[in-house]
Amino acid sequence: MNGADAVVDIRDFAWRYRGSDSLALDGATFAARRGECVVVAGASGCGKSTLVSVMNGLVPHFHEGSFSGEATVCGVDVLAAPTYEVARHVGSVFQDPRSQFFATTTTDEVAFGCENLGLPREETARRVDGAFAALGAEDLRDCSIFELSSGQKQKVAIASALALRPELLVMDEPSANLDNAACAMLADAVARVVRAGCTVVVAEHRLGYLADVADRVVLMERGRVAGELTRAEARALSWEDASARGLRLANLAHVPLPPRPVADGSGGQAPVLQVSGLAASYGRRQVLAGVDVACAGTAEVTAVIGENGAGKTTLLRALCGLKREAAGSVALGGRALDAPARRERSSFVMQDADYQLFTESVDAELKFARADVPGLAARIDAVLGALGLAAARTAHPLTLSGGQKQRVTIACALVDDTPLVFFDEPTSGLDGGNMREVARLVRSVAHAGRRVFVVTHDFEFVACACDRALAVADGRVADDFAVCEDNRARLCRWLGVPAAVGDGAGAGDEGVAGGAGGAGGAGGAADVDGAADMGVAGNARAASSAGAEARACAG
Amino acid sequence: MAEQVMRETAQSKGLRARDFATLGIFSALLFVLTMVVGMLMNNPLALVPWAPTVIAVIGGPLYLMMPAKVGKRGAILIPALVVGVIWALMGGMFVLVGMVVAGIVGEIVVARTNYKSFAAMVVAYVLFVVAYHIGSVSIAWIINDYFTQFASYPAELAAMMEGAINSPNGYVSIVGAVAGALVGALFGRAVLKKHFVAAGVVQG
Amino acid sequence: MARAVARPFDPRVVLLQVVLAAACGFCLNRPAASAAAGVAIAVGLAVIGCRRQSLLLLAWTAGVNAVCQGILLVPSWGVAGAFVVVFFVLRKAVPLAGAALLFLNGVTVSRLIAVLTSWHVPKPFVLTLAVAYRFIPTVAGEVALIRDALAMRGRPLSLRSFVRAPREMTECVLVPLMMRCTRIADELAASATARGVESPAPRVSRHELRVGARDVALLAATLLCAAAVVAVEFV
Repeated sequence: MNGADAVVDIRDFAWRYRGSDSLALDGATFAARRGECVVVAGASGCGKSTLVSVMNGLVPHFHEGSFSGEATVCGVDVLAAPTYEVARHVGSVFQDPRSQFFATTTTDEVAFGCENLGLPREETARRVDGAFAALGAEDLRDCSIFELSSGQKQKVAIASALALRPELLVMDEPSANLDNAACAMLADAVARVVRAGCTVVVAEHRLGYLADVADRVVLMERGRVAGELTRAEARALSWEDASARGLRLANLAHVPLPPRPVADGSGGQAPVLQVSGLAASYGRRQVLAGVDVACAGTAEVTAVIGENGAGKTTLLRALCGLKREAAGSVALGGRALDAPARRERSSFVMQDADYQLFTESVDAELKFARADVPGLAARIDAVLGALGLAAARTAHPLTLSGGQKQRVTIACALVDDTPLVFFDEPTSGLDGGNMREVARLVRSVAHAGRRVFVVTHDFEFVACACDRALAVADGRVADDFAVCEDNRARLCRWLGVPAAVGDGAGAGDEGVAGGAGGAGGAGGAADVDGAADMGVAGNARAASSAGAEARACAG
Repeated sequence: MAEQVMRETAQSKGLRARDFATLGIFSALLFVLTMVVGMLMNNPLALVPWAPTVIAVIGGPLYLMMPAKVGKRGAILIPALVVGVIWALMGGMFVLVGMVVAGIVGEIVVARTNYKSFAAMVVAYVLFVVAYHIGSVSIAWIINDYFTQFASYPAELAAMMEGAINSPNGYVSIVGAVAGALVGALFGRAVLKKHFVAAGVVQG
Repeated sequence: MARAVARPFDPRVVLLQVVLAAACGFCLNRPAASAAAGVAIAVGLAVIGCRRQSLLLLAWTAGVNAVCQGILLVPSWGVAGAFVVVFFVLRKAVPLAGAALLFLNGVTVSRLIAVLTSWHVPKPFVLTLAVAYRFIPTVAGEVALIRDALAMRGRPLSLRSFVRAPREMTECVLVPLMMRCTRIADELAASATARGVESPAPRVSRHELRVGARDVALLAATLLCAAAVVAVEFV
């Protein structure tokens, strides 16, 4: 690589976080050219976030630990230069839009970096204008931060980074908390940034929204760079390949959906739920305007999908009794239940497990608030075993990894043994491997005889875990359909994802991409069957005979 | 596989961004605590002098988290000033005076022990709570002219107010506040040890 | 799309208004004076663009005064007097409520930083205050989520459950709250560091602190109102 052209040049870099036994980065070597858009992907724990943190100087100047190796970014030795020097060359965008903002208005936030570096007022004003213009986000000027959607917040975060006129923009899982429409907005913003000549490096699980923007995808494994994919190769990644590497798919057309489900009740029994005319409001604003849902006795996982603000989370909160209904009724097994009764019979697994961990050991967490019911100890043992948490029994929940914490909260739901279980975005920010694991867990919860609802915007998760989809729009159930290949187009529409990624998928694509690219629908199924090397096909056939058990994810 | 010698990151003596953020957020929590408990214990009047006691007990973990996590100059003074300034701007200017004193003295005491001694932090916390009590409650007792609008009160309520202000309840409640601070500090240390040391958030 | 925050008056004038309002809360003894101050502050809020808060303050002033009048009508309260006397305290404190509303809505974080920096307040304090100020509105949301989680696990947070097991309930709220807060603090700090907050160079705010004609007019109006309130008090 031509030295003058290299914006990022990291050689043989090793990093150990203080207090950790293992190396987060183990001889990582990475380079990026001017004007490129590089995605760094890999399973959780592979070191992509750490690698990106080296580029903006947070490693080693913000995080504590020990390091060796070299790293030069935009001609600056980031290991020696202070962070405010590096900030002139490198802009950063992080994962959680809520915790990035220092100011309370958007314009102040965009100007924050310039103010810190002591730039003259006129220069700051010019740069702020430039940043908003570069993203086409003039309509976000002078708004209160608290009233923006997550996608808009990330746009403001990008603008704030761009105001320092960096040569490199690094992003650490910027889409983790965004739904698909917001991801599209994010991809558009990144494309603009690249067009303007800035180099972009994004650490990501979700390859989908960047499929048209990224020039190449660098794969990392256990702290080192393990391979690379070109744009075309990333798009052509098959389901099995992605599973093997623990990645998310770039091309969602490759995600196999089960064939039409056989209604033979072989999946198990679950309580009958009848919801009629459910309405709820926050103050004067009516969020749910009459929701009707009928769930018969078969065990199924129901996905609740729809745009942001359509009422999905409110529906979940109303069903589980956290939100008192303004009108309508919810009947479980024929009995109408008011909000407190629903709360007793429901478990809610929140998006962020930190809000739900209260005690000093996993064991105590599971026993929380439960009187000494006979058989509790045995149930706890069984649940811990089933979720692979037996070894962590006495560990403090806050010392566990994110995935383990989530499993603890799911374990609590199982120990509480409630007939209704609700999940709120259980896979946001998860890599491919963990997503499949969560999908397996959710299905096992359902097949143990509980009625499961999941609010999600994750196409792959819906494909792996859900039998049925309830689409919510304007506070009502606008569509109610089975998750199967026939309904691929409907599912794509409600989740806000394109049915296929681009037409120019490039030469050398397998037939799968081309066939499935035909706007989804029945055609896809035939192609999936045809790709015999994918373990999917075998499972798809098995699914129709074995009932709802065998899904693509089991492969 | 890096057998090369790895360099350690530098520890800095001054306050870094992480310290400002921690002190800022936990000061905000302390402030909200004082406001919420103050509002809840507004009525009946007899409860008002005891609000600082309740605040002291609940606020222990919040207050102690800051020197535990930051461990540098400013970890005691800055939170006191922040709480004081925000109260002053919302109408409680006497709180600010108390906070300045408690903050400076507390900082000196804790800095002497290099932010490691629990006893020093207890002293700082007691000062903090007493300063808050004096600034928010005792002030009525000390400068009771300012609170007499009694001409406009119905006679029996005026008598009740005078009785309340002149009763020993006020003095007893300062003792209560100190006791609350001691309980709160012990509670705080227990919570930090049980949860946050284990989680590696704070050094033991 | 969300509209702009308060119309840009020089924050120093607004801060002066806040201090005057707080002084009114302490020094005024006549109920008429306190009420007049409340109305004046409400007008001030409307002028700087906080219409909703202005109406809120007016409603509060009227409401508390009405309740006090009502209390006066009852000949004797007996023991219950201890519960109603607080309304008289609130009546005197109306200007303090006004000061709080003025401060929270009239000054944004960025302008506050600008003012304090111009007064050469040390950067560590300014930044910490900014973080605290920025974070106060979000505390309620965080606690609400924890309350929901507790309700779903069968240990709802309420006065009764608190009185029954105060230590446990306090721990149940504080532990997740503090954990979330340390995480938020780390993320906020990372984001700020990556944008040069640790630069030793003096901060230059994008807001120019210039007292213009509007600000002088506002200041004059404020002082006039203060004089009027004082007149109501002493005349």
